[in-house]
Amino acid sequence: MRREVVLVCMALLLVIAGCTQQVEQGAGVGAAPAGAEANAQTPEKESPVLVLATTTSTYNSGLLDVLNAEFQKKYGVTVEVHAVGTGAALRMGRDGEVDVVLVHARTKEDKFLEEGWGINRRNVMYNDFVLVGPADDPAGVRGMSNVTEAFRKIAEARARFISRGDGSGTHTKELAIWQLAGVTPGGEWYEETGQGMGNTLRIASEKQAYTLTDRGTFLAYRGKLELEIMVEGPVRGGDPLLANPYAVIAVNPKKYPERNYELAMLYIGFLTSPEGQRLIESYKKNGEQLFYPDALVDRENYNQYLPVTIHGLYNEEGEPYTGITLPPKG
Amino acid sequence: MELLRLEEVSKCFGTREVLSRVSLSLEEGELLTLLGPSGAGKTTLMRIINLLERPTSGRVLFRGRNLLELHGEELLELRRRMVMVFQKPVMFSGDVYHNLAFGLRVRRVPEREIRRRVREALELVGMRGYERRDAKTLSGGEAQRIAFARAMVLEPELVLLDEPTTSLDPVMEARVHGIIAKMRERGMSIILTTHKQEEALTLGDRIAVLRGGRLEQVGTPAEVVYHPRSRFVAEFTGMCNIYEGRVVESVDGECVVRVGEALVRLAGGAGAGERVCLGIRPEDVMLIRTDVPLSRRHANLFTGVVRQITPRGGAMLRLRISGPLEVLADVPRHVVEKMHLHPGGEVVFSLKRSCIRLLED
Amino acid sequence: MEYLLEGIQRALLLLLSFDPYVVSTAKVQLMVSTSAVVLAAAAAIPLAVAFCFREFPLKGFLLTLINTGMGLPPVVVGLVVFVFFMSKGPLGFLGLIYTKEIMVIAQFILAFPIILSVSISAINAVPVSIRETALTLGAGRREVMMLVLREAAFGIITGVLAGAGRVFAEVGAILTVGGNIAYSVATEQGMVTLSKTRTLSTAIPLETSKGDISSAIAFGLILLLITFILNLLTNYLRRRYAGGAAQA
Repeated sequence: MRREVVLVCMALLLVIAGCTQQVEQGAGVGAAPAGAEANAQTPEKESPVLVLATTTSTYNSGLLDVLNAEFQKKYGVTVEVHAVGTGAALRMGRDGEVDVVLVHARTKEDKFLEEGWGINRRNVMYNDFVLVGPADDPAGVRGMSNVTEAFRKIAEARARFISRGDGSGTHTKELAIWQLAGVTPGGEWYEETGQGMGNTLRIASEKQAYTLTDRGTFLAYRGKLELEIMVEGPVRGGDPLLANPYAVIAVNPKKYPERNYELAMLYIGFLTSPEGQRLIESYKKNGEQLFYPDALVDRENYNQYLPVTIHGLYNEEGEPYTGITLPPKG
Repeated sequence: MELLRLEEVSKCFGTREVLSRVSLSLEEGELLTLLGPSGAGKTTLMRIINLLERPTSGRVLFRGRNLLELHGEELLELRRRMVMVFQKPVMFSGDVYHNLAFGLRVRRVPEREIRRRVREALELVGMRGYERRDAKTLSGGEAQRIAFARAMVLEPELVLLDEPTTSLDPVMEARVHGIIAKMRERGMSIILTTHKQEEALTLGDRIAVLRGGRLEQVGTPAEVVYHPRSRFVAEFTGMCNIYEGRVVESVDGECVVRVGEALVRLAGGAGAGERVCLGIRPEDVMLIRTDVPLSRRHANLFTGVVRQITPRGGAMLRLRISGPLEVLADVPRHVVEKMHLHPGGEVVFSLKRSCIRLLED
Repeated sequence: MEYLLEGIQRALLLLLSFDPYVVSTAKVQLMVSTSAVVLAAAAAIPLAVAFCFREFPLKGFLLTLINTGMGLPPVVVGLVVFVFFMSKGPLGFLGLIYTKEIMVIAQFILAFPIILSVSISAINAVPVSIRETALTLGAGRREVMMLVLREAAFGIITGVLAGAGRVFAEVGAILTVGGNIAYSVATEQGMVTLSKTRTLSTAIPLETSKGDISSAIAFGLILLLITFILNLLTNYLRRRYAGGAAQA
């Protein structure tokens, strides 16, 4: 009996000790003054930490591991990654829980910047979305070059469409296309899963429905799905509207002085540097390039610095705004 | 009329034989007490009669029909004519009314009739107005009485009472005896188990003595008390003076037995040299006044010293007397007072020849 | 802290204004989980009685199996049900995948072993002397069973409520087989999102990941309310059966 009591006490002590240690660590990160002085003050073995919120797609692809390892090697800064959806990532930035965000939902990014939560947005890279659907293609959209038209036809045919409905970058893009198509999706044919891309693809396959997906996830799941690409994105020469640009944004130090702005800018600089861009270019999974670098421009791309509300959804030639530097035509 | 008959009933639990070829019968309206120490098989016998246990062999006849061969509705109909009250009764959760009504409801008695009979039964056990009491909150004595009411309300032909007074104080015991008397007034036949000889003797029309699963003796209280067949029955029915000895002389249906130093003369046939067991009840030990001449009628005279005097209830006192023959004697108080007996005093007593029994060992 | 207060404030507003999305999600949850529990109880309780009143070979082994079933991970149940009912699965022709019906099936499988196991131990916990008293008072087999059920009622109800607690809190199984699907309809007030197979428990992680904390809190509050009512019910029945003046 007495031995048990002693054991329980020991266990309790261990737990309490563990907690205090955690608290101390947490305090260390939060209270660390920004900049080089902080680096000088902290003991050598504790490397400074940068907190990043990003989407699941970048993290799950494994690209971030490659980038962050290089960043750590080069600057001795550890990157702590919160892999969540774009909506949640921006919320973490708004709450000052992270130093920097890497996201892909332009309209939400604009709002984030407009409200002053973030500054210094830069394009980092892009890949693209594709519209997929069942082989029998009930709405007859296969091979269309204009995804907006395709969406309109799906709505007219009331063909089943599955939406992520989770506020993610993919969901945001889909809503933007519906808006361009002048359709308010709704009714029994249009369903939201509120789940990740993988599950949404699975449900679309089971229900033989159309859905908008990023190319990477679709390629990864293709073997298990009864879905085919209906409308291609810009990576394969399809509709530029389906571009999926990723941007990095620092959390505004004026709002959250305790956040590590210098490290955030260091990270932004690294991602958009020729070296960072080269790493993105050369990153392949199953022999397939997943992301296309988009930070260094060899042609004009002024729009990337302007919010959508200013330059509008279309450019002067009536082409939809994409936010990426498109590969030269032909 | 015969209500119940057991024929050669045996019961084994595994290799252990709990009942061995027990044969018994019960007349309508009769009260039979099953007397025996715990572990004698009394409860098992009751459970066999109540069909809670199947005998390994033998027959159980209720109104001439073998219960062990009946099934379904027929069996249910017969078993509904009897009811058992367990030594430690359990109450169903719910109120007292639910407990009493249960047996009537399964018999499809109309609810209005149930209400009347429940009220009546509660009155009989002196618990009027207890209908709505939560049965689980009753005290031990109350639960015991409710258990009686729960059985009586069914107006059964046969009631099996398993050790109904074992865990009760004398006041409650008297109350339970009162309830049993009311059951008899209503014509119910009763089998009652007990290990108290007094209870067995006062309540029973007949007594069956069980020992280790065997029936030692069945008879009226007088038969069992005055003519116990065996040493076990004798001891269990209060014949507390029991001696072993050897027959030294046997003439004309009389013999003389040597018990230690003493010679005891008694009526009964036994061969000379035989080892025998003999007993006499404490009330058959006569104290002899020494201030008057001894009559010839007094045989088996012994002297001894009074060691202890204990009240026995009523006007009787129990004397422990030591001497060549150790005896316990039950004597009216006025006799003890008149003879000025006290512990340490000498006394002369006589064992009446016709009251000494030869017992099977 | 500010977040939490604002979240709760907006959540209450959503609840009090009977927001159609919140109401329809709660309705799906109640319909699915309640049907699952009622069906599971209807199947498990008679089975528990049969189990306790009969002797048969491998009874002990079967009991171990049932008890193991109590700990079935919901995600695994969801997966198995999905594999059986997916369009290429053996039961795919029924076309039940991503419907409320299949969610009921999955939750039935989760609730059934709990109710069965708890009911069996509740019935076994009724002392033999209760059965024997009923027998000696002239009860037939059926009446003895009914009485034992009555005596075990509290335990059985506890089992049913434990099953309910499990399915109301469960996310893994209904997310996989139900798909967490919602749809939108146009109304006079504009577009309204309604739940098809989305439940409170599956909507909470979704709204949290969307960053819509107040909706998540609103759903959480309803779920808490349901749990609270389940507990109130347990307490009420405990008082009623463990010593109230029940008249049956």
